[in-house]
Amino acid sequence: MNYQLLFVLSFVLFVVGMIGVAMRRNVIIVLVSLELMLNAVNILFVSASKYLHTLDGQVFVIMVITIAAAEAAIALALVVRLFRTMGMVKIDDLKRLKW
Amino acid sequence: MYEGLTYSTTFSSILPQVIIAAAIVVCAMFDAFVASKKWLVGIIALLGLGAGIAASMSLWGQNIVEFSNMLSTNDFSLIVSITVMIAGIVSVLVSLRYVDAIDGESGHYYLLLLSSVLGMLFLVSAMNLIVLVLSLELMSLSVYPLVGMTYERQASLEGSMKYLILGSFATAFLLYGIALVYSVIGTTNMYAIARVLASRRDLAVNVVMMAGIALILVGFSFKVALVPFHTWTPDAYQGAPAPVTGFMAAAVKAASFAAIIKLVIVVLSSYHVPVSGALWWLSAVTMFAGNIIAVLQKNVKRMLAYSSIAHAGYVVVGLVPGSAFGMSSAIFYLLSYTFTVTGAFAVITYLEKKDGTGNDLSDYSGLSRSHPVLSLIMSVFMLSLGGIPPTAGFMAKFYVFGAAIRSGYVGLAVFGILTSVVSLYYYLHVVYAMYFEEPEHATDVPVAVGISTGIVIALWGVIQLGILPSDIMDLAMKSVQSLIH
Amino acid sequence: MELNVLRYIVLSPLIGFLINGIGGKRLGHRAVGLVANATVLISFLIGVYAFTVLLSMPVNERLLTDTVYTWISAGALTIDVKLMMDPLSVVMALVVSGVGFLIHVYSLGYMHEDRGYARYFSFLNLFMFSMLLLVLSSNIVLMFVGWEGVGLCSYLLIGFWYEKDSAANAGKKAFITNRIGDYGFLLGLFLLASSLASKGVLSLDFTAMAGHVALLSPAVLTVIGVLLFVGATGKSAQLPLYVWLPDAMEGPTPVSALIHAATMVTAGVYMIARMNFLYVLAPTALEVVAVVGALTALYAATIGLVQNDIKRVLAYSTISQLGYMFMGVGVGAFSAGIFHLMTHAFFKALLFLAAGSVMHALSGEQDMRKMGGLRTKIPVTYAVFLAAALAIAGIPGLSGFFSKDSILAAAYGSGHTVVWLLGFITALLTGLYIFRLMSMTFYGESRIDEHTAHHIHESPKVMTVPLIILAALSIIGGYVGVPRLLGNIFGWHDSDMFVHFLAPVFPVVPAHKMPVAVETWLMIGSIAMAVLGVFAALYVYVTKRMQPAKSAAQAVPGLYRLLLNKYYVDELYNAVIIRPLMALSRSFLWKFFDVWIVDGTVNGSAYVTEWASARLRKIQTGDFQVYVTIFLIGVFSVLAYFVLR
Repeated sequence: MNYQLLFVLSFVLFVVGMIGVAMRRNVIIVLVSLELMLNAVNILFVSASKYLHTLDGQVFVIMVITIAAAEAAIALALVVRLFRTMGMVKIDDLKRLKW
Repeated sequence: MYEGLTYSTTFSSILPQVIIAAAIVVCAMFDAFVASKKWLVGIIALLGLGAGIAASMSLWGQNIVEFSNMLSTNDFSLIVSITVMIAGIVSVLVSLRYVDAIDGESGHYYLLLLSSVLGMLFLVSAMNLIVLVLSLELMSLSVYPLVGMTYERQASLEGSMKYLILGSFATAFLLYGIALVYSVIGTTNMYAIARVLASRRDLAVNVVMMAGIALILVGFSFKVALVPFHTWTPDAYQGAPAPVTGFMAAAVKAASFAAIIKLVIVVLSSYHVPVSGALWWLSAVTMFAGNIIAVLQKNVKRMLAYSSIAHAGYVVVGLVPGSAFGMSSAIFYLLSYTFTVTGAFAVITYLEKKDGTGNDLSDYSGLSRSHPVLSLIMSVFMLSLGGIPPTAGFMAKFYVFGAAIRSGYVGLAVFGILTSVVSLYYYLHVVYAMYFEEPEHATDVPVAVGISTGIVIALWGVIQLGILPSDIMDLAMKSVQSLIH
Repeated sequence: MELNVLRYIVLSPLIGFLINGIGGKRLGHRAVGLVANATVLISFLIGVYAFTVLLSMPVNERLLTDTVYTWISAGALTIDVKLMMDPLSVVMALVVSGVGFLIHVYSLGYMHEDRGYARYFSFLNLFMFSMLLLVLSSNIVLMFVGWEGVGLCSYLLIGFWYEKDSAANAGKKAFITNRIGDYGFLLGLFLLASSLASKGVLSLDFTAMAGHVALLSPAVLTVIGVLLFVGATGKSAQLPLYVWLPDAMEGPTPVSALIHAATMVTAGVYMIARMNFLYVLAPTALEVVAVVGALTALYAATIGLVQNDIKRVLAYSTISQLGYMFMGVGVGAFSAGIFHLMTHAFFKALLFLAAGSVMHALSGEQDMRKMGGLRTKIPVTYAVFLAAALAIAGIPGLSGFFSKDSILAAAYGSGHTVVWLLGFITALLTGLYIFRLMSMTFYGESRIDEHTAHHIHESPKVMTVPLIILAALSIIGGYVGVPRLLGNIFGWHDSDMFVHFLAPVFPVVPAHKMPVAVETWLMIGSIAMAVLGVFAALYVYVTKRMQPAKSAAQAVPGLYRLLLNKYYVDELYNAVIIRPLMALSRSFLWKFFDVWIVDGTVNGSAYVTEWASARLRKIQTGDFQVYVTIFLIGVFSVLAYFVLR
């Protein structure tokens, strides 16, 4: 199995997610990009775990999935609230607090 | 390895965590089934936190590693636990009236606060990176909704949203860093990582390893708001309800710093990693930017947000030398900052109105006329933040700068002292407004027993640490020793 | 010897502060005044008791201590909250509490109608607590606590009448300027502690340090000495950090007397005297102290010549006199410096309080151009003012003469000729500015407007009695330290008791043997300078304004004839010295140097800070994507630091 390729895949996914968070305006897309970053982490953990023959990485992945789910739940709750009070989900409209 | 998993494992070493978890359950039940008298939920939270402190004190002096080496209860974890629980108590006390104003939701508030505290307690005793990350997330994910609690205010929602997305972003970096370290070393146990680091010198030039450590540092720098990972702080602090801001500035910061201190002592001390150099730069930039930007702030909460950024820089000054004394001084600083900042935000809560206004400097004009005692107390907190004796803030700065100078970091200490001269400029602005300006409008705040009690606790701490610092410093020294073994 | 009552000297005013601070208005005027005064009086009385205990002890064992508790213990380093009383601190404690008590009494009358009565007295008591802590602490860290405390009280009291913008701003300026100095002090303290620790000395007690500083290298000692002196220049208003003191006159006059003349501003001198063991090993640092002191003395005196605000003249005079004290300690004559500190406390407190009495009489007028001829209208104030003026001018027989002369003699005797010369010229200017003030205020014709003139009245007893006591002290206070030369003439051989009393505290400086003739001429010279200054001032400001000359002759007949006989000399003096000097000080020193350079530095640093703040905060645009970008820049920097190194 070519582990190198898996590591590169994880890195590329992470960078794609990072760029998504930095560039996209829609809150939902930003959240999706965050999920992408966390899944890049998961790929790295799983492949390293297989490569090193230790189980810690696999356990970690379960935990990361849990964290991602919890994060998404809270984030979506906030998005709904945001949509109801401000009627939008564009992140660059959040500019009241500055300086 | 398997002995740890036998049923002989007792829960006594994590008694504080068990108590807080139980309190969460009771709170949740109460909140769900008792419709009226939501303030009782707050009382339960207070009782839970009080019992948690008592349990932590009873464990003092023990050094127990349990649960497959995942959790370690020692003086270090206990002193930080007590600190965050004190911050929790003051925050709950301060919230009692405030939360009643948020209709119908008040029960959740205490639940979230307690679960955040639970996360912190696990964070400080975690000895495995898995537990570390989980507890860090438990802490953070409970705080994000707290910031947005007063959701009818746009600012509150905005602060919460920015904090959440940036926080998750930082967590992703932290996790990626851990994954990189794991891919080199193959374990997530902190002691095991330390052993490998100590035995393999070639890792010093291993790019993946170094990148992993760098990203872990980034993740924690975000949590304690070091520049340039601070951008969320002013917005979240300003948007959040005042008691939550106080809780974030005190407890979240203390617990995250404890995690950094633990990582530096346990994992990175055995090995020549350029952590100290990186912290040097982060500290200098943080002290500079935090203090300078605070100067022109007109909103007191936002000003204290920048001030809290600057204070994170001062704590890092104590970490730079890597000495036991430096670490102890950082712990002392955290304790002193906890008291001071929860007190300051308690006073702010007194004056904050339901719609989130009442935080401008002009709202503090002439406060000494209508509320002489409150103004005097606020002045004490401001002077403590500015580092003027005989307050806790002075002793804290005295210790961290002393530790830096003792280890030869004179330049950093001098720079820190200079920036703290700048900081006086804006702390005195508050004192100035209260004493030397005419009131623009009548400020009338009804007396609230909860807030007043919180203020008294904080004030006691500020004076106690300022006048009798040596006992606490002794405890801090002991706690650092317990971690080194 | 352990004497546990020492703590009550310090605690008593603190209790007063707490009672008045918490009770406030509810207590009523009488109770507030009673508490404030009684607590300070208790401090003074305990001080006197401790003084008698001290006197009863053998000369070389005169040291009382009072350990309250262990304050800081960091590893092997422990710092106690411990008070000590040796001859040096007993002098300071008695001056502070004694003069402080008189000023408290005076304040009862002066602040009678102020609506911040309770606030005023609580701050004043807090000040007494901090100041007594400063002078009685047995280690340098505790001393720093008092040091900061007095700074805070000074700030609160300068800005006491915050309704006036100028007062609030002056308070802020004082605080910030002082902090710059304080951080010099703090750096010096850290350096001292860490370099002592590196030699295995883990104590910051003065007595312990005295035995061990010799272990450190002269270069380190010099740096420490200079850093500590930076702290002193802030607190004691020396070049270049003196700017706050003239502005500090915005505070109530008794505050100016207590804090900005008699006690707090002398803390720097006390600190250097207290650290004498360090300074004698760092001659360069001591040299800096002497030169800065001498320059400040001359500089401030020239500015004092052209001010028209009565309190500002006194403020510059204070700066100048503090310069004398630094000159004294700087040339190694520590006891002479402390002696001048004591006499100055008497006569300068008196000058300020009497000026307050003048303002009281004139419904708050401070401009001397709107005074004049008050001599007969407020005779008591005039009499005490005259005593203080003669004392500060250095007229023989009054306290100021003895102390100033011993400083000048020490400066000359130790070979600091330039320093001496500066001090010598300042002696002339001192007489000049103080009698210019006297002339414009008390002599000549009245320039007071009708309405105010109608209300002129002598101050009540509660104000005049402290004035009279201080006047008596200003006159006789110097006789505890009559120079041996004079003592010998009158057959009084132990005349310099003050020096003997302080001798155990200060190092034995190799005596500079001066021939009696030289010493005599020096003394005559400085007397001549003082007298010349006084008469020149009287001539210029009284005689010349008098048309016809007869009325002037009636006002001061003896003086007039004397001046008349020296007509040409005085005219020359006026044209050659006073006019150019005034022009210089008005156009250059005051207008240019003071306003532009020194004020500019202080205000400039505030400006630069605000400028930077205004720019930097723009980074926080509120835009989420900018935040992410900043975050990523941070990530890449940290990554680069770790990976590339």
